[in-house]
Amino acid sequence: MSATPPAISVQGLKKSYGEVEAVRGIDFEIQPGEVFGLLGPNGAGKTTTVEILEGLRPRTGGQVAVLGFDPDKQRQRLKDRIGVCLQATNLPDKIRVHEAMEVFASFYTRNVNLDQLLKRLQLEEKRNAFYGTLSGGQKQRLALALALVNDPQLIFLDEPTTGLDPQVRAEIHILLEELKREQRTILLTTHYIEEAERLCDRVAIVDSGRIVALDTPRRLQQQSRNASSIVVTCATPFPEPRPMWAEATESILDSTGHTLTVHSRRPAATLVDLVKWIDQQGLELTDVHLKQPSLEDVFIELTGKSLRQ
Amino acid sequence: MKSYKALIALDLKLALRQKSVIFFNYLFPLIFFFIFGQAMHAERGAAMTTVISMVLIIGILGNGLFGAGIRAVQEREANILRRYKVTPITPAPLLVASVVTGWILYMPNVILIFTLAHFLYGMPWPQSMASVLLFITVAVAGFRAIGLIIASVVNSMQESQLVVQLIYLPMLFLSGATFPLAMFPPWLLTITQFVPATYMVTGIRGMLLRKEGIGANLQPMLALLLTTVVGLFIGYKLFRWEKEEKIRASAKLWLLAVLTPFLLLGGWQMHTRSGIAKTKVLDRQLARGDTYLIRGARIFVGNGKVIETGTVLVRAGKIAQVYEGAGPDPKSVNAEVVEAEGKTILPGLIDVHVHLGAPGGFYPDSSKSDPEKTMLRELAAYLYSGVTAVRSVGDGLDSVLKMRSTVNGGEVLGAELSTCGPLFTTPGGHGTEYFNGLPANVRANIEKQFTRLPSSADQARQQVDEL
Repeated sequence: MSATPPAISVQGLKKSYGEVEAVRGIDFEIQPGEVFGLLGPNGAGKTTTVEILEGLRPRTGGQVAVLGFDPDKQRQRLKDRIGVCLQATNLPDKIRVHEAMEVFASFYTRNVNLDQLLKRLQLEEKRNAFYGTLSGGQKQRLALALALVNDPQLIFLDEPTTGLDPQVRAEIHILLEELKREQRTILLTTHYIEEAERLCDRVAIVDSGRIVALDTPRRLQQQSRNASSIVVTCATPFPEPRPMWAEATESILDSTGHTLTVHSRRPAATLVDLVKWIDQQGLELTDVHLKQPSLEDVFIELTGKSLRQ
Repeated sequence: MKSYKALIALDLKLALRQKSVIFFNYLFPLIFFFIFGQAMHAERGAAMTTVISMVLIIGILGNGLFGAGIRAVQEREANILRRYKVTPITPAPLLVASVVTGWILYMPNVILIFTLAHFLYGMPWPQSMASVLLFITVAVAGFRAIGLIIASVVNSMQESQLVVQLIYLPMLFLSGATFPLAMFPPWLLTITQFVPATYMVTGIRGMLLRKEGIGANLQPMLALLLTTVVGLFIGYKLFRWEKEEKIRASAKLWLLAVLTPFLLLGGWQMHTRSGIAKTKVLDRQLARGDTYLIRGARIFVGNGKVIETGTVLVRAGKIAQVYEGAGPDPKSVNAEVVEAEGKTILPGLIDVHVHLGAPGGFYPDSSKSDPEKTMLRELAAYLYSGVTAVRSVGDGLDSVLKMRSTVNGGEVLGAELSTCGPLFTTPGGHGTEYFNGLPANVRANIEKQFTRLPSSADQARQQVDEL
């Protein structure tokens, strides 16, 4: 795609735990500046994949390069260059915010200005507060701040908003969008479809250790077998029989006989034809709307599982 | 290096913010210090050594096993180590920071306790405070390492509590820190020599009572250092960042690897028994180290004078003062009173001509007589009858020298022994006649033990020098 080498390149990645194959051959590339989402049900192999890329676990097979490093062989140098925000990590209750920043900064060869970083994550007022006294959102912002102390160009975010309330989630999303604008490469795993739709340039859907789909969120939606559908409601029941409107594939009447769902390959063409027919039949149209398949639908279609179980 | 410094600074701050750390490192030992100081009358002298060594052992064990061990498990269980896992650091700075922090936290307490002992209970400063501090430093590091290795082989908080207690309690009770080893039967004494804490107790007591330095405690120092190194190395190899990573049960055997230096040391002690001997000497020294005021007795002073009613002050095993009448108020001299009306006190008698090798009778089978046993029995009998010192003027050279070090060193109670060594005489002269009837092979050996037959003045000089 571009002349610069990819930030992450994965070819034929495999990982087994004894007899169990957690990852069964995964390929993808992430370009610098790209926000890449990994979606998958629990146990799909996404955490294993990410942990291999972060240098936390050795792989069983395949080629992996992260920022040009082999995570198995150049673990320390790789970790020095990336930022990682894991879920379910903790700090001691009695550590102050600025102390946490300082101690983590001491682990890296390269540091950003810590005061500016705190300011940016709206933690400057909390710099002397104990970790134990922070709210969930503040803790998560601190976790992000700690992932940024070494000014990483590549950031791994493992479910960065899981368990947060919607308002805090929105705050975190604003921060992530800022990081995206700074052209940092981000690999994101998430349970939240909206998060992926909103933040990710491309999304890979992982199931049973394999990538089952990989594209931009929009194109994934369009690829859905379930075509878009038009839902119309009339004041009086629909008459039988009904014709097949232009580009329509199927029409289903609900039990009241008042609401009709029409699946279509090209909803715009179908809609014109359908409204014309309703008018000819002398029916009184009370409601009409267009339903497009969401990423969630695509996900369920591909994996047979709900994202949040 | 940056990360080591930052982690040590952080560990220290976190520790000082935790009430339990302050309590167990400072308050808890001080409470023991004062309770046992009062109860055991530490102001009379010797008991302070017992109190100090007990308080130090409790502190070092707590600092290492609870402070390092349990805390490391807590950090893993609370998903704190998991956060460190994604950074470029190895387990090394975390382990080293734990050992160094434990040491920095503990040392002020050592100084505090010695200062209190000196100013409140009149304990003299140790001969070499530097040796004491160095010894305690190595001990703290060794026990931190044992704590860390426990953390690395247990899978849960409950398990760590269990393992720590399994190590803590025997160390406390089998080391002599709490129960005097003098009450232990020989088999249990042998077991104590495998317990690292035993060496801390005898080391510290030796430095306080016998003015020992590092030199006399090189073996336990080396064992503790080795424990630290092995403990840190295995702790590094088995380090787990996440509670989900479980370790197989057989890995607990690594705990033994850390204790190997002490298994070797214990095995060595089974052979030499020098550790047990030292323990006995120290216990005896402790027993006679107190201050006594013996009142109301008739006293033969030893210069011809007799005090009809007098008092003797004994301090640290020596006569400090003799008074006419009732003597000073016992409180003013911090002494325990022994009422001795109707009794007589006289200086120890000295017998300058004894033969300890003669069994005092005939054995039907002379091979069953063991001169080393009868010698000890005789020396004890002398002491019991008021003879505090004897001079051997003709006994087997090797056995008498052995008895001299055993009894004079304090390992076994008996009259103090000095010896003239073998008899210097001429061929066929006095002393040689006793061996005439012996078979030639036995005779050569016996003669070497009992006599020297120099043929010139120079040879006589040389033979004396060889002794």
